[in-house]
Amino acid sequence: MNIPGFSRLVPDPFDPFGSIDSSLMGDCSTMISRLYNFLDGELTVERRTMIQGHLDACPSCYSAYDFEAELRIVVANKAQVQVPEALRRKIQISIQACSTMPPDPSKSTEL
Amino acid sequence: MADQATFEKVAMEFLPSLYSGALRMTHNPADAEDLVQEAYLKAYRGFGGFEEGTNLKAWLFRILTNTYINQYRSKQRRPDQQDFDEVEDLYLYRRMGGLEAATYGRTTEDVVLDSIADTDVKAALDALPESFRLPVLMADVEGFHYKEIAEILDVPIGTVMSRLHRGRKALQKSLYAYAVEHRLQPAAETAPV
Repeated sequence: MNIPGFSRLVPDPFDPFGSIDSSLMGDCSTMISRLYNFLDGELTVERRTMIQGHLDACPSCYSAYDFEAELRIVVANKAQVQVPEALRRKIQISIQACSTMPPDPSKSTEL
Repeated sequence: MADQATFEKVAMEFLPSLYSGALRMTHNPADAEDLVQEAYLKAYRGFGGFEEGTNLKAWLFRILTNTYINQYRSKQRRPDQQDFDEVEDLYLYRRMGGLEAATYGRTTEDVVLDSIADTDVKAALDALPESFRLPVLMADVEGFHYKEIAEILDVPIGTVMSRLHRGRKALQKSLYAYAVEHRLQPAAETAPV
């Protein structure tokens, strides 16, 4: 929280009363730094188990995790777009036109 | 040349994803349509090179991305990632506490998430520099794994991870600007100005 005039108004969600045992803070910061990898399902089994254990035991981190997970669903859903009706047909027609032409080696796909 | 019916049967189901990707790349429906059409044609011509059993959607995205980079990108100059400051972790989440005045008995989380409109998400994505936008789109909208994104963009996995990390945080800052500030500001007197 380093926004001028804002930090005083909002309690740190990870330590709203300034009472979290500092010996646990290392775990919380590890948790936060690995949160995206955890949500992405891209962690080793050991790290995944460790993070899951921390989430089960730490309501502050669980709350942050829950928000990030929800947010990701919101972003994925709301980024969807409607495909223009005519586009599908246009693509099919261009593929048809292409398959009736003799193959052109100069137009091979380069990946 | 691949069998036309087979190609259409397996490849056309990814049209919504490819069109969505093209739109976020070009920021323009007409260019997006041209780009997708071009990518499908290239994919059809090169379908013999597709390895069966591998991820067809990722293969199509790679063609889409390469077509975009080679033919469309030069038209537009967008801010690059250097122009974006590092954003703190949990940017959006950490700002929810200041919005309690707007909750009306619902959880702040629901209010924040509900306040985000389709147009906000698209505008926030479009505002990201391209080197962040494409990995975030591929991971968070299309559900590709790091390894697949690395192959689509032809960059190392470590680069994908760091761009995703910075890009997602930048997206939250951008979403906050578009959705939360615009809609909840009047009700939330404690929100930052």
